[in-house]
Amino acid sequence: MPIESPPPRAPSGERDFATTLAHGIDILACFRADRPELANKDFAEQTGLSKSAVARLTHTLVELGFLLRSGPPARYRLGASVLALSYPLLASMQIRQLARPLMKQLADHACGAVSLVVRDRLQMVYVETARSNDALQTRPDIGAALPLLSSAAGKAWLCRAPEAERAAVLNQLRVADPRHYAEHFPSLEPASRDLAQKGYCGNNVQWRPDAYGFAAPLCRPYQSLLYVFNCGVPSGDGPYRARAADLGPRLVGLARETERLLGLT
Amino acid sequence: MIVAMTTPPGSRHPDPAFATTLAHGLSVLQTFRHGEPALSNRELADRTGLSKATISRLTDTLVQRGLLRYDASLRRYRLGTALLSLSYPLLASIKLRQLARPLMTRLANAAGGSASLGMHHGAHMVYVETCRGHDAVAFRPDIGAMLPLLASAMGRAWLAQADPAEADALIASLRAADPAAWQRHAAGWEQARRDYAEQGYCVAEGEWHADVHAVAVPMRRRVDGQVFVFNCGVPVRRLRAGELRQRIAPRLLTLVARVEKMLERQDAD
Repeated sequence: MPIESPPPRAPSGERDFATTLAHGIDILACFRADRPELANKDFAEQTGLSKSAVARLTHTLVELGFLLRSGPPARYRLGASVLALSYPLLASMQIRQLARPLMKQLADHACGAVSLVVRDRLQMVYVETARSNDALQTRPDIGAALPLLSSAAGKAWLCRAPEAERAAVLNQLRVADPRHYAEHFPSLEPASRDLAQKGYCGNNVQWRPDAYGFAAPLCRPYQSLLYVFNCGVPSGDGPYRARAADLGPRLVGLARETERLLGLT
Repeated sequence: MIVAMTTPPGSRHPDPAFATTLAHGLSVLQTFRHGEPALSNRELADRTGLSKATISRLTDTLVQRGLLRYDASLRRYRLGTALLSLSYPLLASIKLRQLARPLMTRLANAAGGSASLGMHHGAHMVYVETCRGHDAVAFRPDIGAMLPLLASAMGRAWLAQADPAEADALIASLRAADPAAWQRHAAGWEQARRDYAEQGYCVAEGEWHADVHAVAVPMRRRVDGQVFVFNCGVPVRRLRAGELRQRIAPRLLTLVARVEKMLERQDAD
């Protein structure tokens, strides 16, 4: 996860904060797709915790099956208990199963990937993806992240989220990275206009140089999450405007049909 | 590997290096089950045996880290989307998922069921990939689902291929932990052991989910140091008599053989 949660404030304001628990979670969050194995020293560097504190946390996480230890020298990998925690969450998202056949149809038409994404703190994460070609595209996978301010899906979320949530998230984004915020905040205005006029917004190689992204949010939160449909296609397959004119309305159609299936409308 | 470790509330963990607060916080997350997606502080306290004051401290912290979210309309907590981000490096590191997925999708569609890939974890198998070829609402296999070793085809297949001493030790601990379950599944496990030796697959016919029959085949080579197992589960109303063994098991064996060929070719490149 590229974005750290803010550290706990002074003890007086955060009496109800379980520091050991938060630190243990921070240890689990140190892993990256390209760094699946870490040592106590790596955890200490990334979290700023002392080596003895880290050793106690990793010891506990191994006992509980959240980390697997190998070595010596001791190295750690994520254990399957982490996956098991997310099962009730994934299984409760009926929207994934309902929308999947429609997503696959659109992915085949687009020769790209069609995904469902939701917000996780200051990023968007994939919860389901249908690809036109299962064999070639390895990503995006469940849990992979997209930036909020510079991806089409993130902008769609920011434009359509309930006001209080949106204001809080924008504020946290500004504090976390003022330069990135200043650079991308102005693009929310045109995205918001596109959403109002056409029901989708797009991203012409702003996030990735090799891809266009199009996004259409659902009309309102479902199970208290605002879901966004995202369609990603290679930029080499055609000019942006032609692809937007074809895929944008289809993505909106997918969102409306899913709302109907879920009984949101 | 230790299967589960819980500390009775109020008692001190015997190991002084054990971070009890961390264990309690994670046990709050483990309280959520499929079919019960939202829980209140009181419900969490009842189920974990922790005090309401302790629970509210833990839930506050879990919300802060994105692992729980508060659903104001229900006045209950739901699991948070940060769990998906936490799992991502583990899922992404299992390249076998991507390799096998197209074959799994085809099998799931042909069988009218679901095809999954799992790995061993303590007393369970855990799904790391699932492809659905059916629309059954109640049967919802998904990534992260945990299957009991003795009652599921996948668990039996893992046990059957394991080193006999390791398998026997594990079975002895399962038997001690739940003698009644052993009574129910001992015959099924014996049959599975024979099936694996003679046919290369194991089945479970309704022992895990009453209305789902499944067949499982372990890989013969380790990938990333692990033995992964493939299965195919089909709602029982779709199956004709004998179909699981006669039609689906051979297809699953072929799938595993093809995946192993693909891995060999990758190694050769």
